[in-house]
Amino acid sequence: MSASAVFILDVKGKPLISRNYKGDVAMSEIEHFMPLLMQREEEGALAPLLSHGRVHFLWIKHSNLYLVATTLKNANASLVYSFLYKTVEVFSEYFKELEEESIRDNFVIVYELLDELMDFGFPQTTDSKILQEYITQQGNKLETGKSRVPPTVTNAVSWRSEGIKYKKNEVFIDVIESVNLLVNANGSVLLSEIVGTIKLKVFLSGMPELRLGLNDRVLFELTGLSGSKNKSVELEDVKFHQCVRLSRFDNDRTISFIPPDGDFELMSYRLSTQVKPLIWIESVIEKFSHSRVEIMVKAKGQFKKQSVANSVEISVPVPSDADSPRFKTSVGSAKYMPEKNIVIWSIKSFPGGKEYLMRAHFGLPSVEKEEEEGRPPIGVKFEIPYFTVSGIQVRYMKIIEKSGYQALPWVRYITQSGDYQLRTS
Amino acid sequence: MSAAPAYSEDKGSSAGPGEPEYGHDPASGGIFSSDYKRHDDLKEMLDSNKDSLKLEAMKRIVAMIARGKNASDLFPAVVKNVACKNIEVKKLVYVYLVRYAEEQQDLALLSISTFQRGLKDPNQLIRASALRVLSSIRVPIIVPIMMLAIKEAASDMSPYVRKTAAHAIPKLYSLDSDQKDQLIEVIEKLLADKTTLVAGSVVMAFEEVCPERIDLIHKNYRKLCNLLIDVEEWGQVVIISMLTRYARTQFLSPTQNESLLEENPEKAFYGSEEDETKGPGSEEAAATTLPARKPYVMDPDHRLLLRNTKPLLQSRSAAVVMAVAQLYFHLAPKAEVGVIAKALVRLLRSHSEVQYVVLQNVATMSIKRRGMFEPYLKSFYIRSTDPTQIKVLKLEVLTNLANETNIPTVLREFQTYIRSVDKEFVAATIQAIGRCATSIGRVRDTCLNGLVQLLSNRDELVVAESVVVIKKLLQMQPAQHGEIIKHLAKLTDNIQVPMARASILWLIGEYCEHVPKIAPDVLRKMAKSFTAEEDIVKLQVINLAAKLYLTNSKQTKLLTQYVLSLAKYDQNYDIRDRARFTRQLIVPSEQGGALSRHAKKLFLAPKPAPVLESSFKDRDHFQLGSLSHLLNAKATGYQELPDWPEEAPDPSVRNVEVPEWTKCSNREKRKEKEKPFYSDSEGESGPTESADSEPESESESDSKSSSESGSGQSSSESDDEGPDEDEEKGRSSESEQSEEEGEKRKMKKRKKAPEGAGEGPSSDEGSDSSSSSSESEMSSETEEEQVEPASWRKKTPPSGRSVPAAKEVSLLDLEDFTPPSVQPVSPPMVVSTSLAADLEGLTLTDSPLVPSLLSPVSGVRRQELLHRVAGEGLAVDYTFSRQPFSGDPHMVSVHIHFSNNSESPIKGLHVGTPKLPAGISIQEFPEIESLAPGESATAVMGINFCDSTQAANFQLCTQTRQFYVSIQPPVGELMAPVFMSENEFKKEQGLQAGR
Repeated sequence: MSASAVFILDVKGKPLISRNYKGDVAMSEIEHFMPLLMQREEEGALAPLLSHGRVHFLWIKHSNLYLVATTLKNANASLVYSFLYKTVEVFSEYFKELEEESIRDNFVIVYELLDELMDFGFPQTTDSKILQEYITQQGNKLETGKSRVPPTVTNAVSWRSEGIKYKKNEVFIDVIESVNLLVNANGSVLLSEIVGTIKLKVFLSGMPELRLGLNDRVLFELTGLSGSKNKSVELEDVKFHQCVRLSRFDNDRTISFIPPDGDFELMSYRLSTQVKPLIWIESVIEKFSHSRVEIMVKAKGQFKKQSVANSVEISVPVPSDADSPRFKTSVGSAKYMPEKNIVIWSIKSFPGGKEYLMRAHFGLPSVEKEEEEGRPPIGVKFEIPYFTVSGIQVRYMKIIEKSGYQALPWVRYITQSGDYQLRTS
Repeated sequence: MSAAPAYSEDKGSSAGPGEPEYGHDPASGGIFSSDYKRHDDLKEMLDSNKDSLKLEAMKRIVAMIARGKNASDLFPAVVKNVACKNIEVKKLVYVYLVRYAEEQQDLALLSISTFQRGLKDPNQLIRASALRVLSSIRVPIIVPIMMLAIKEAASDMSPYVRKTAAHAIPKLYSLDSDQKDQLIEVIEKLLADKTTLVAGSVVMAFEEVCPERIDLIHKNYRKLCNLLIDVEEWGQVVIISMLTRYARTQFLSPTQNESLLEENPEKAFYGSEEDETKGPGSEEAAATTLPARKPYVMDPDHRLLLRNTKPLLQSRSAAVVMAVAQLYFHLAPKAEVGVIAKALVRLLRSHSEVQYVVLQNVATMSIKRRGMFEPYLKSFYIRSTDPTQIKVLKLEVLTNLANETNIPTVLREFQTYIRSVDKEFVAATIQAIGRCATSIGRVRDTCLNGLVQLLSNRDELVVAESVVVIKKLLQMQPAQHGEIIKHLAKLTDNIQVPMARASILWLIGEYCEHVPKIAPDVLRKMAKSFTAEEDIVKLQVINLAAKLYLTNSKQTKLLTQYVLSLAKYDQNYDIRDRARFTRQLIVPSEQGGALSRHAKKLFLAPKPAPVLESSFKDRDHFQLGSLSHLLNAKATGYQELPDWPEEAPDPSVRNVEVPEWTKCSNREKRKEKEKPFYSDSEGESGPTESADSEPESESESDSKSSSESGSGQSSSESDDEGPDEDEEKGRSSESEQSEEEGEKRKMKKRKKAPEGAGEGPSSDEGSDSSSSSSESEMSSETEEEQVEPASWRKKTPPSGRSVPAAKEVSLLDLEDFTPPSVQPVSPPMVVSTSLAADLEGLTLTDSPLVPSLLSPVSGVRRQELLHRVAGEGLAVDYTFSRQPFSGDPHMVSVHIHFSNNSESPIKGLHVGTPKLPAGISIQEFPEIESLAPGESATAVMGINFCDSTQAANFQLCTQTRQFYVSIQPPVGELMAPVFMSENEFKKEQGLQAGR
């Protein structure tokens, strides 16, 4: 169905570790991978799918590693990519960072994990929480687990094992919204959307049943709560962790679930409702050929006065041959990054409603280079705590467990920049 | 600890990889000695009796394997430890074995017995891993052992072990494909499994081993649909793609009658948008409006699949979303496909590899169903941070989506892209503009103007690409664009990109009459630089020369001859060939006049404008989401997605026996007169119930064993979980009607039970227990149980009681139930019909039963005994007449119908020496002396099946030939009918229930 073998290669293409699942592809085939990759890269036709003869390589790159799955057959490509990313996820949970070093230090575990993740080319147990139950770092917990049935067998909740205990039962809810924005050179908004995720950190004993209430408009309409005093949000295209009962959500928009232990992403959603760009940038880039470039950037915080945007970074493109930078900023500091051909203007805290200015001056060489340069966009990074741009709110979090303990939910809201670009003329 | 120094030593050597190897002269055997030494301490550790040492050694060995080093010489030492009690060591030994067993087959066999023991271990984890390793050892010799192990594991109590068994199936198949038939049996069995854990794995095995055996899916189809949402993500993907294929073979195309929509894409567009904005509510709306518009009625099972996969669009796994998307694209009616667009657009936020796959698929879909993605146009806008391959794909999608209304926006966006640094992307953008211009006539001039402006771009690549595109555009309407051609002609001085030069030359040649003055001049220049040109340019120069010679020979005759003679001595043979060919054509010579007279027609024929179309145009014949689609070529093992069938195959194959059984109610039966059993609305709720059925055989054995053993109990308990869940789920969709039904069902049960208890005290006990259990649960199995005892009882009495000479009513034949023949013989006739009618609801056939209820014996279905082809013209059918055989009450009478389809008479028909299983006996029919052509005859024979369903095999002999035939009786045909009044029946029923 999918992969014949999985390889992890270092940055030079040398196999660090490999696992042959089916034996229908010679393990030496991987030697063709790197040359092929280089060749395609030179041609500029790099694709996540390379073929050498009958063998197809589906690969992803993670930090300085290549994860490659080979297949002969008509595999399901998206399944293979999902699997490779899942592998990265599992390894990262085991070793914090997945990189060459951590693989070298943990050959045995990696090999065991690869064994467990996939059987004969078909993904098996890929839930890292479950894997951690029987493939342990030190390999000493297993005595206790000998007689225990793997939790997957109980089947009802494969993502949570029984008998978890905490002294203090708490749930931390993080509502994180990132704003994607694309603005035309003449200032019209081409695309503005909010991608939100709700992340949970769960420290709860037993098998708790959780219900999350949001100010979901559809729900409000269903229950007749859509009064004027209740502000509601229309969630568009919601995606849930496997623990959420999709059928219930479909029926009555209830988000109910038995959570996995620890960190996980409960749901994500997307809103394409137009919102005012949170940080608005106006820029004038004047290029006087053969002599200088003058840049004037005006940034305006278009959010509530009470809120403050933290660690704002505005990156402004400059020509690659610019030199002798000079800056003047009304607040924050500016820094020229010649290796990226940008100026980064960073502002520690940026209260709503304020407007700041930066001027930059660069010299240009008198000899101009042949090629015309493109005009990369201005990028903005920021983070606004205690604020959601969509207005989404957690109305309640109900925690029900057999033993009837009291548990506290904590909620935190953050809005941050996603892919936030403003094109320059 | 002694291990510590050894370990650190090893670490030292691995820190400087290969040091010892290089240090020694390979010829001196140094490698071996050092290697030997190094492995020696490992061996020692493995031989020690401390688990910790063993573990340490195994860890180091596995690390060696992982690094790709050869550790095969340790095999004997490692294999010994396979029986180690420490599970951690065991696990690593397993890992080692899987890696090296193939190389060291003889030694590997030593470990087999350990695995066989492991397969019997009380711990399911160990059973599973023993099976997993056993099946991973690719040694042909152990195939029979593997087969046995798989078969056993397939009926293991633990779903985890069954799942492992499912995984082992393709492994064994790849090792020895001769086992296919046996494996299919196992797959069939596992397909019937109701746990979500197994479902994904067994479908995977099915896809690997026997994807062509679509018939195995029928009975499990509804169950799979219902389980789908609870299966883990990988299993979901596999099941969905299998179901896609299945649905394509079993259902009718939902789009076949939508030609109206086809003509009007606008409509589809609005339809889809509506769908998205209105959300869940709109589905019903769509469902209600659709049937009104067209006569096509979707099979309820088809609907079930679509409905059950829809929530999965919200899955976190990109693979699942993609799988559902392709399912909808391939199976859903046009109006409903729209729902996937939003989910796909969301995947664009995912990793770039996933984006790559998704965009490829979106590109294909957007050609067919443009309206679907139009609302999301802006989501495909290109970010400067996107990798090139993503940019190009997004461009493709944007181009596909461009239409009259949104073209200004799209073009403005393209303008931005042209300024990008990424040259390849710019080139692709220009191509895209060209495509927009061809497809949308209104903006053609705008595009052309824009492209002409690009001609003055500083970047040569941009200019070259523009020229190529302009050439294609001009070809569509050459007349008005003399100016542009002139402008292009000027470019020949500067532009160096061969493709662009060739394009310009071709344009000038083609439209030389529009630029009569410039064309010869261009040729002059090109003649000058001819030798330095690239091959494609040279070819176009020859082309241009030839065309000018034909139209303007006065000015260009000499030039042409010059070019041709240059070409004659070119290094490239193509160019030499072309020159020779052209010369013969255009220059009139003495002998070859025939063709040259038509030279003008040949060269200056009006040429059709090229169609600029997407490279994704025909990709949709590959199943979306498959690797083959991604490659745009067939990958090994790709299975063509079958076309929709013209006529729907029989939908009843998906009906599963037992649930129908429970459904029978008087009301239902009455309804049957007006409509088929499965009305549309019922079908919706039907499948959810029927999914929990089991194959007949299993439930039979279940019912028999349930009273015997505790183990049987527990297994049936676990099985019950499934249906309960399903019922819960189904409940929401079921209306009050179904509750009513349930009530009827209960009543029905009470009615049925005593029928068994009635006259047979022998079975009282068994039926007692079963009926009492049936009170507590409404599981379908118990229904079966109740029926079963009835059959036992009926079979036992005949010795004591003479069988009434009345007709029989087959009560329990599940498979071949045919309406009973009712002949007005016995006094309680009325009751019997009502009884028959009562039970009639039990049948599975869709056919309206009531009309045939009163039909005579001839209405009973004939079974084929001998096909006329096999019988050389003699066709033989048989029916169970359901009358006692006159000769012997133990025998079942069978009517044999002979018909002669051959040219000559068949003589001397009789039964030859029967080869019968113990206990079965046959009363032969009298010999038929002769059967003339076209004639038919009927004979009656008696068979004592000895109350078993074993087949009676015998020979049919004619004078010349012998045919081996066999008759296998369905259970229902083995019973003698009993008649009683309704009151009697109820009374007996009451007794049976034990109350």
